[in-house]
Amino acid sequence: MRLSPPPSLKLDRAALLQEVRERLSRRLPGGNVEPDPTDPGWLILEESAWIAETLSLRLDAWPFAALRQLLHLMGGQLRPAHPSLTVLVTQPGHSGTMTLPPDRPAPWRFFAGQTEVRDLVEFCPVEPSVSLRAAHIENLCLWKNGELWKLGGPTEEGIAALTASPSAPERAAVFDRERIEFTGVSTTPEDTFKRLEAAVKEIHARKVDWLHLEPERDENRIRLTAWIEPDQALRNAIPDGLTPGGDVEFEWAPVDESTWVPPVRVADRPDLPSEWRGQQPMAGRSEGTLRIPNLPAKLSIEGLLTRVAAPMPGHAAEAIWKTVAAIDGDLSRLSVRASRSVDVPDGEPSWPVAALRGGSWNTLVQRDRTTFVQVRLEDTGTGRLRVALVLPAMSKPPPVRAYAIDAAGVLLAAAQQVESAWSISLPDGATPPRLELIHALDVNVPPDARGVVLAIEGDIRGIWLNSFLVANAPVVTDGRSVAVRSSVPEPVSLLFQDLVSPEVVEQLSGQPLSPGVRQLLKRLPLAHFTLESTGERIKDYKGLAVDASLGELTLNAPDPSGELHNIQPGDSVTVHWYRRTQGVIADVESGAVAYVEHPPRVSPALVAVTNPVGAFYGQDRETEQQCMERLFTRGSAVPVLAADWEHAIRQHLGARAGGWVVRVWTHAERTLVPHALWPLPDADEDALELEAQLQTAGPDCILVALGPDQALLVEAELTWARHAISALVQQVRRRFPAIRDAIVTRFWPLTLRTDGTVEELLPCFDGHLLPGMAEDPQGREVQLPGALLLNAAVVQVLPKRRQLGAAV
Amino acid sequence: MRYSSSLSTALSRPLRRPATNEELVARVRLVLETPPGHMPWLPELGCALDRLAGEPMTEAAVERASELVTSAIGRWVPEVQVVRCDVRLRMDHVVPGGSRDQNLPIAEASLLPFSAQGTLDIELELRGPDGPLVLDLNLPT
Repeated sequence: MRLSPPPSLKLDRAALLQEVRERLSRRLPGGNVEPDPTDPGWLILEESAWIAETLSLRLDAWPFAALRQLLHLMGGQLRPAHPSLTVLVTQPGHSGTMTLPPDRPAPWRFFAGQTEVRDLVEFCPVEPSVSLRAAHIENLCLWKNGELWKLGGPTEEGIAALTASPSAPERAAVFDRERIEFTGVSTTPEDTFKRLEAAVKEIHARKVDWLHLEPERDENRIRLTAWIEPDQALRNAIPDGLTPGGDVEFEWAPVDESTWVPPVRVADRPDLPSEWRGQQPMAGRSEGTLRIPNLPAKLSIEGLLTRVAAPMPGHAAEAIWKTVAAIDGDLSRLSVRASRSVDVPDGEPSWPVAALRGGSWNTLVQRDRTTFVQVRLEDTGTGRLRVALVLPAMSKPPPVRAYAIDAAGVLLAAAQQVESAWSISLPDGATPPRLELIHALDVNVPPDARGVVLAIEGDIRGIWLNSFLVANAPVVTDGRSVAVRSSVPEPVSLLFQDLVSPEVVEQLSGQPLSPGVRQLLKRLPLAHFTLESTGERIKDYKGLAVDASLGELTLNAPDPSGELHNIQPGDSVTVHWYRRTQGVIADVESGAVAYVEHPPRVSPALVAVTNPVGAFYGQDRETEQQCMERLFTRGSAVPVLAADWEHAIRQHLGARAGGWVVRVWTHAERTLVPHALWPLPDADEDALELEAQLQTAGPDCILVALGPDQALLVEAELTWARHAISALVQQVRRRFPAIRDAIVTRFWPLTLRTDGTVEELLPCFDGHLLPGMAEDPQGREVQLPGALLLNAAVVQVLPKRRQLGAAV
Repeated sequence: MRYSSSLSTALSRPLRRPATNEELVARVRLVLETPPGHMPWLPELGCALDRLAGEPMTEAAVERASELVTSAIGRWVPEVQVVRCDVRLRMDHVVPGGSRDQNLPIAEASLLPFSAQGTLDIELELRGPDGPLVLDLNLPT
């Protein structure tokens, strides 16, 4: 059955008079069909038409009201307002865990200020517990093609330092002052130093122009410092320091014990040809040389080459000493210790040095295109670090590794535990807004850590610290005590409309939210009442009916799941608090939430708050017209009656269930009429289980018996049908929540043995109508009971079997 | 105002024929006795003589009444030609100390000695397709 909106009953005066004219012209051919307006007869007709039109306008309102009553009878309800959701970033005064008390309002409240177009909008935290750290983002970097690029970082202090978005990649200069020091102690330091100087000269005489070696002596301690100096190679090739014009070729050979040469790029300078800016030089004409072709004349060679931002590999560093030692055999007997030092220039990331110190650099850069985020912790503690990655909508969150930096500035090689918290899509601040995926992570941080480096395998649009999910579901502290006068349902008007009830949360969960967010919403405490006589707590409207749209609570009426909290007359219910929502007006733009309020001694105290993304998912309560359009949209049938469900199930199961008997029993049919379950008289295991299920099934559950009309349904087919029908119920439930579950059972086709005539339509489920012996496919033959068979029906009638010899 | 002419409609006439004098008189009465706006489906139908009620009884008001009657008949009953329209003002003097009209409130009745009540006598000479028509109307002002 499909209920479509009834046609309008409005009668049009002009149409009525036109009909009169037509009738007159038929009745009185040649008569005066365009009478004078002062003709008394025509005046009466015009007046009648006017009265008919006026009355029909009023009468037309009646079907609307009648339809509304029908909606209530069917269980169709107006959809309540949905709270909007967003993500906040907060700056705590000190590290701590924001934990929501389960039975009283959260002390932290967040507000978007009042504007010309909206009232004050309040948000409350949704997560039961979030660890907030006093921390800020230091920098963002990208490891791509074996090179480190700077992606900027926060430019302001305060809460702005808790959010960062990558900027255009810029060459990292952190390794420009990298030094490798070889230190050894000699018993003949003077001789050893001379030998070392000679070896260095020998190396410089070779084509290794990029390597600068500097021997030093400090009493009996001998030190050789090596670093990469690209300009040195050019200076050796062009002593006057200005390009002659045309190709420039310079020495760039490896040391003896290695094949590694430092990768370099031509500087990105405006006086250089654009095709060479930032490019790697070509191989020279001879081995161990590099060439930059077609350079203009009289260019300064200082800074013409820049080193690729990557540290010197360990094997290359070792090869330097090996080469020195190979030149002079006496040097090879010197026991040296190699160490690396990097003097980090201002504005450069410091974490690569920490990684080199901890020997974990290679672990960090094991994957190409990794984004690094360095976070500085402003105090020590045991709390985890909450991080949110901003990603393109519909993207898959990338793997994230986290490494701690200890008090000595060493990056610990062991990766810290990273757990996904939730993901949510929200609109960014662009015009027009685009959706972004916010993926929250909890990073385990050692107690004494001073910093954290996140290695994100992929690109990100941004990263936020201390981010948590909030909803526009502020708490209303009521405190009233409602006396119950009788045991009949008693409505109580609460202070606000648009409450946040379990039904609202369920409907909100139907939005495209991640399972993590759905779980958090389900765990959000919604209301808290107590029964004065016993002190019993009533949480989240359990056992009470609530109309979230109207803001009306009905005591002694069952909740949507059928559970009823029976409150005796004379008792009182104290309404402590509940939640409300402001609907779509709370879909505030990014940056609107700027105020935080909490009692003075709450920990952690919050200094500032912001919402880097806009709020979304808010929805106003449905109007009656919208409800009817949802339920009665043309082309979208809503099953209401049992026959509708049978039709819908047949359609949903398709050809695979062709020829099956599909019978749906509603709660009223099951409970108001005496019924029985096949097999009889002794129920089998399935029938006992079905009986138990029916005992607890409420009005929102239908019973579906299905199967072929000649044989029993096999188990595999029954399982498939159960899944299919469950999916159908879930689908219909989004639009029409009266039916929420279905019990699917096997249909037993019965054969009636009788010599009488049967006039009932088959299949017949009613045992009253067909007295006689019935036989099922398993050969059981039983007298049909005088009750309704829920899972069996007579599908054929055959004459009674005659015993052999009976006719003789 | 009384009139005895019966209402008859042209709708029942099987063939198109001119209206009779009796029918025309009825239509003229209907127009003159209907204040504009009384028929919601045709609010402009009628003669706005009611606007004269309460106005000072001057010559201009008498002239205005004549114009209103002539134009209403010309617009709504075009078959009828207005040959003459005489509007006369008849003064109804109030006798001081006389018995008060029971329908009048006391306050208004006390004002009556200071004013006068008048009636417009309209005598119309009309000509229809079948000859002259005469119509007498008394309208309180």
